[in-house]
Amino acid sequence: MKTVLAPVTWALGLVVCAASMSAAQVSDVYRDPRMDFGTIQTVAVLPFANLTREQVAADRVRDVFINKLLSTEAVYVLPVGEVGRGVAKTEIAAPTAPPAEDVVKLGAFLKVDAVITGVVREYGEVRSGNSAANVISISIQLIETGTGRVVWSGSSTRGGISFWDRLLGGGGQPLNAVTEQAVDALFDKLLGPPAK
Amino acid sequence: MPHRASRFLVGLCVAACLVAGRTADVWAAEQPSAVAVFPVENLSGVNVPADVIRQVLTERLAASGITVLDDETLDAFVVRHRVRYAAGVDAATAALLHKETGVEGVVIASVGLSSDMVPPKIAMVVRLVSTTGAPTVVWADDAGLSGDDAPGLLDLRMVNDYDELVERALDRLCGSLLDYLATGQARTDVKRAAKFRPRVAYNGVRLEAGKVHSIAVLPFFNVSERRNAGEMLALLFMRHLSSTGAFRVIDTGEVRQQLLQARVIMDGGISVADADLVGTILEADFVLAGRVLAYDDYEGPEGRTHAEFSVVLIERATRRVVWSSHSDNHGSDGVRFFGRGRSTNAQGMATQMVRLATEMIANGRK
Repeated sequence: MKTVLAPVTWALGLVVCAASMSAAQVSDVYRDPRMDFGTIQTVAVLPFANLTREQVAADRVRDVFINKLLSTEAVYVLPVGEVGRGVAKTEIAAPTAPPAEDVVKLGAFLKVDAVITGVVREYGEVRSGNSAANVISISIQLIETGTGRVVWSGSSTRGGISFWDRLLGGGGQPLNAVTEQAVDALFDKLLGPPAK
Repeated sequence: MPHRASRFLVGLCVAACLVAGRTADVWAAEQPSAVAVFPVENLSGVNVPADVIRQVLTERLAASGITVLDDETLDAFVVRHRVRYAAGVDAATAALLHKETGVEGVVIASVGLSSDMVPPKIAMVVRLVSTTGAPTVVWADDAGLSGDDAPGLLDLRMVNDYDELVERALDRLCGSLLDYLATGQARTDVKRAAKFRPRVAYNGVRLEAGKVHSIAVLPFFNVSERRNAGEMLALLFMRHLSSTGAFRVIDTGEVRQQLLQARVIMDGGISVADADLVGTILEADFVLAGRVLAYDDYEGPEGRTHAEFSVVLIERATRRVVWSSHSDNHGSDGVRFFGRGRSTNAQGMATQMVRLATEMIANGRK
């Protein structure tokens, strides 16, 4: 009897494990299935919200993001001065998190198909024991200017203290390299095939 | 055999034509024979030996047979025409200066860094602006030196004397200027390491072959903690764009004057409308602007330099961004053994970063 039950117990255990793992798999990307992303030709990148202690973190990440996005040649990105002019002319009170009607108004003024907003959540050095490394965490939203709807949203975290940093010491990678990696990861999610 | 010889001759002719075509699209101005040396622009935020620098420039030019406008005549001109801005030349001042004094160029030196603490540091940009037509930068060079740039064995080649370092910088800059005035060719042997290339760049520049394009460089929007970093970066871009030969760089004095007259206020960066307006007034094909995020130097023997900036180039004809890049380097980047290759002066590093960016712009989209 014992020999018959053992394989059944194992099989049940495996099924329970698989079910719990699939339930825990949460994607950090939202993509509107009704949106035709091919229609987005021109975008404006609004100032990013800065939740870090570093004063210019949002400016730095936004600059890297704009240059990377332009260099993909997937879309045309308006210069930051033009976006600033649009924000001032349309009198948007909160450019880092504009309401839908402001996005529509700004889109009409700047003649862009979408605007991008972002939040820099972490930027700088983290410490754990004797180890230290740079970390960055950002999230981005793509908002269509026709309706003011969020059509894509994603986040990315790169850097931090790795197992090898703890074991062997070392200060991780430079902040600019980590920033580029985080932005590249976002583009992979944005421009790559939709997650199944 | 004669057939082969004729093919060789044809090949030679084609090569000669190609070389001629190449030189035709390079901006070349006539070297001025009479110049005025304007007061030194101090962007360092500390006292600098401005009079000494100006005197050395004047003496070296005069010793080489260049006619230099004397101080009395220059002072009288400045008073007569109420010239308030001497760190650049606008079109009206250039025309009056040329008409009344016969001067064909103006030499302007800008000091970006000065420290007499051991090891001393000095960073300068000197440019020659033509006054015979629209004020255009015809030559420019820079020197960013630190006393411990090349300490050598047992620090025997360390420079601890500030005056000696300033003299070295001026020797280099005067030599470069006199070479240009003698030959009409700017020095091209600029040191640049590949590690200083822009980290991210979009290049959509398409330059018309055989045409010299005019470009206006606007002061960079300064987000860094360093005072005047925006002006320093703009000067470095003017210096390197003028030496590529592909651009006619409008002097900052004229750009500033037109920005003031048109009441253009750039809050955070240049807009397309402003670029269009400035480009139209200045008859510039391109308008270059940017943001400085970091421009850090240090005093004393230990520290780390850091330069970070982004650049945007807007084409007036299409009203579109054709170049956009982000550069970010620390003085310790790529340094592995014994501090070799360390950048001890932010300008010395920034000039290489700017040089590589301007070369990519001048080469255009491949």
